[in-house]
Amino acid sequence: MRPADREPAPGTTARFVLLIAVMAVSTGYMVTEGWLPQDRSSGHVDEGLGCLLAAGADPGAGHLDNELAMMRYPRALADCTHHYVVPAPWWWSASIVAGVAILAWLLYLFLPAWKGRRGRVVPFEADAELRDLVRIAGLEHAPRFVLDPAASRVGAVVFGRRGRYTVRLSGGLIVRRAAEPELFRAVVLHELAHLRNGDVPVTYATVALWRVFAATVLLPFAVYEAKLLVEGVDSENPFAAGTRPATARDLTLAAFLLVLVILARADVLRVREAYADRTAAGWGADPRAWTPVKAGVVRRLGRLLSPHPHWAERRRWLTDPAPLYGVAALPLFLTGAAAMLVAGLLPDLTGTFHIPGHAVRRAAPAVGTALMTLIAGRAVWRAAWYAGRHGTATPRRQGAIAGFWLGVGMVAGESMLSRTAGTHLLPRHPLALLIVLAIGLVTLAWTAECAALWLRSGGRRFSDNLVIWLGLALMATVLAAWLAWWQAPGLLLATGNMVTHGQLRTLIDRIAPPPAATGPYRWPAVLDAMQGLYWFADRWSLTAASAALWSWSLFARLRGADRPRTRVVAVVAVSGALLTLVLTAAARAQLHTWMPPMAQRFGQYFYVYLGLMTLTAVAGTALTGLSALRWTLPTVLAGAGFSALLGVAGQFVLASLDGCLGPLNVTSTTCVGWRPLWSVREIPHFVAYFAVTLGIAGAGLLGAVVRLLAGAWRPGREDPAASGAREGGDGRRPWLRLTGIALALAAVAAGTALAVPAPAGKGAAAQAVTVPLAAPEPPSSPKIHAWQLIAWLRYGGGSMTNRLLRDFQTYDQVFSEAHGGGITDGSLKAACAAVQADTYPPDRYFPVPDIALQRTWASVLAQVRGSAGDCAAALDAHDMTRLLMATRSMLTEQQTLMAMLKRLEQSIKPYGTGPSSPPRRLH
Amino acid sequence: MAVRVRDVVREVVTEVAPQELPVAEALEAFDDDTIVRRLSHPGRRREPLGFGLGELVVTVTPVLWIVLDELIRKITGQVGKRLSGRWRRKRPPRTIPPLSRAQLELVRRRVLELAPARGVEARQAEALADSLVAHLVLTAGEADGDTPAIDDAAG
Repeated sequence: MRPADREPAPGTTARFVLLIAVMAVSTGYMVTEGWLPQDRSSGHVDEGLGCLLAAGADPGAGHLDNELAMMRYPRALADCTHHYVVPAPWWWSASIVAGVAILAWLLYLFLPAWKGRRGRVVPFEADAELRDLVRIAGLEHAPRFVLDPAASRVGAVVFGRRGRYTVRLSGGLIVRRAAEPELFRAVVLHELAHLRNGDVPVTYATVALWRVFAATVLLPFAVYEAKLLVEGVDSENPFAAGTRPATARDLTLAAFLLVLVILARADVLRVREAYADRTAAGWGADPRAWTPVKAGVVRRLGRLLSPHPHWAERRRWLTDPAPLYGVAALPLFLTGAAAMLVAGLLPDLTGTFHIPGHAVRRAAPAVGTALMTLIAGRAVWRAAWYAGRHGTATPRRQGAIAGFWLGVGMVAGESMLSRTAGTHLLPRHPLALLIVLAIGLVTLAWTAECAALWLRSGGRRFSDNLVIWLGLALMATVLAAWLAWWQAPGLLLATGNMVTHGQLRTLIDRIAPPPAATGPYRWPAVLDAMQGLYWFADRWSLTAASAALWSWSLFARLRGADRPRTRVVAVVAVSGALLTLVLTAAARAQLHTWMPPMAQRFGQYFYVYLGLMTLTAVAGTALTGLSALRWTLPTVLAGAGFSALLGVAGQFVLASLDGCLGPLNVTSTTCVGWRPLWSVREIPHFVAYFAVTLGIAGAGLLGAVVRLLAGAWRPGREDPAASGAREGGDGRRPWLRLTGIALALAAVAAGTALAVPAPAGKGAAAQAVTVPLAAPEPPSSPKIHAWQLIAWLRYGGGSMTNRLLRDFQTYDQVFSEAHGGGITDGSLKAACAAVQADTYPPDRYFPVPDIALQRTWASVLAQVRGSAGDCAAALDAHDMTRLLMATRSMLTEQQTLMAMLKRLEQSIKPYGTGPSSPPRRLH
Repeated sequence: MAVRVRDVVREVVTEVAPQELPVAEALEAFDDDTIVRRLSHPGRRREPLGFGLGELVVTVTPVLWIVLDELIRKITGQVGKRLSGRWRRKRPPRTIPPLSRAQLELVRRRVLELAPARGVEARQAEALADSLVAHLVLTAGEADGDTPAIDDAAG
């Protein structure tokens, strides 16, 4: 470690920024909650629930069912919304958000003025000593000093806004000054240290925003939600019952934010105090000043809430700052939770300013990632840096435990959002939230091990800060990829998939039919797994993340390459590749028993073949994670990367020798020797892509779990890789280092090259076939059913049926009045055309939200459309028989339609005219 | 001869606790009500970015101000009518009229009562009480018998 290296910053500014961000995005969310769009038809302020009801949405149903209801008839829904839903004027919510910002800014300006008002302080002229202290602190602009003569205790405080600071000394301090000049110096230096460390603007900005946010947003929101919850208890409105859990969650969000901001702010301030203490001590402040006459006993909760650390801790930290470099659970938990809220609610904030949600949604994970990396990532890097500099060992499980708390926080934050659970408290598959935990756990554990690996190996090539930033950039790459994946399509694992397995199988059978000779394949799971893999396709960020996971260890090696670890990487890589090949051989042997005749070896057979190759390559690579029992995570991941490449190369060799492999032949039975299958693009592009991305990620996940468990079983065990590292040091072998550089570059290049999307042909084919969405569930109650029908009538169904009935009437009139005559003058033809025009294309409006009625309605529409066409054709051909038949058919349909409307009326009669009180939003 | 409260305070502080003199003088920038209100509540608020050792250091000045304020409000009959609010205009400094023996006795008792809570040690409290009474007699003068007596029981 070079002594000239600057100490890595504690990252408290990023934590302040995170706090400000979480308050800002929550403002966006809470404000939009108060200004929902209005329904032109019902007059309710309800986000256009009428159209949703007509589309078949059901407040009692699951989140996924409602999402599907909104997706099934996109054109009809867009039409309905366009006609009936008046969005709240955008400037309302935008001006509230802007108003909160302006109020916070005014308060930020007002607070220092209030603290330093003339009724409270008197100017205190800076004497020679104070000027000397300002000079020691190296401040460009000297602060103003004032005296609060009524403050009887020894103390001081600094406040102000950017560039205009005030140090307020207490009367008690002045009284003591003569007897204890050292105490005076220490207190003033501590306050000047706050200035030097730039604590004042960010602290008071947070204080100001918090007060304004709590008073003007958080409290009204909590009251509004509580009112909804109470009103909903005995409300007749089924919306109230259906959305009660979501309302409860919103209330929890308000309480959670309260606790989060208070705890996080106090924690950050404690860190800032500790650093001000250290800065002041560094300037020569007498440590005896940190001894109050009576410190008082502070309870645990009091300590958590206090913006100052306990005196005993402060004194201890002056001599032993190690705890300041520790990785504590609470800040990580709060960081994870706040960052997930920021990533999840950011679109709500930007939405108030009419910034398209789609673009923001894509960028939101990056914002959450940046904050988590700058706070949590930097915390573990700092811990490793301190350990490296002082020759102490970081606790082995520290990274994993830190990652665990970050992950738990992320789960807590995710649970406060509606995107997984919708109107319910828990998502349909709550266990999927463990993936969020894994994202935090693995990423941070890996980061910690990267840091340990680098800083322990003791090279001198790069400055520590450069390496730390590079390490953080890699962490951000991995975290951003995971979070982006979680946001889409990972969330579906929690909400449930929109397409059922059965529907997918039908789709596959249609795209790639099973061979007629052997019938459907015996392992349908392979096909399901292949569908699962598509979830991970097309993600450049995932590839970049894998390259990052993979290359760190190689990169770290540039600094002091040592043979033992090179061998370890090789051993891990070769064992993983061998495992892949053994699994591949087993899969080929199975497939061999199912080999259809030559002509049928494409389609589903080839699809299954490709699937098995991919799965075995991913599994073989991922299982190298087990070697984390003995080696560090970065070493294992480097091994996994090479294992993936070697394994896929081995598979390629086997495929190229197909025909000569006896019981392992799968596509050919005649041996023609080496026949490289370069033409099969799927092997490198599909198999290798997944082996490198999912395989390495799997190895990392498995490795993190294994290391966590191994650490739990054998606490304090010495890390073999670490001891090897200390013995190593290979500065005299430039060729080895050059090889390392070449390998690292190749690894990154290979990872990037493989970012080519999965086979384009199949993807296009899949898009060409419309994927059917799951069929709607039956309504959750008869009342909801009735209301769906009412909505269907009100938002378009009624006018459609009315117009059709009127058309029939006109036609009937024209037909009977102008018997014979009308045929020639064109009035009958016009009536026919009017009927036809009002039969509408099927996607123009929603189907009736009732299976039997919809069947009738669809049949009426189809029949009438046909008859109206017949009528026009008969008139053109002067075919009276055909005209009469068409007319008769139309009459029948008219009666059917009227009967249908009667049935519809009967089923809605007991439930009045629809929701009377304004319902809530559905998601 | 009436004498201003702040003058009495300054003089007694100079004699009994000279180290508090800068504070006593600085307080004179405010009006009497403000001073008494601020000194009555030695709050322990922990402000962000503050450094507070929590120890009461300024002891004598608050005792003097509080006792003399009580006294004047008893004399002028303003008991309980405390301050018309924070936004009132700055008032001229209050003065102490010549006091009766009973009033002087009351002042002495109140100083001794209040001192321990304010962190004044017993011996210093005696000195403080003596000094204050002496100053009051010397500057404000002792009242004749016809000065309206204060109901001691009310104190």
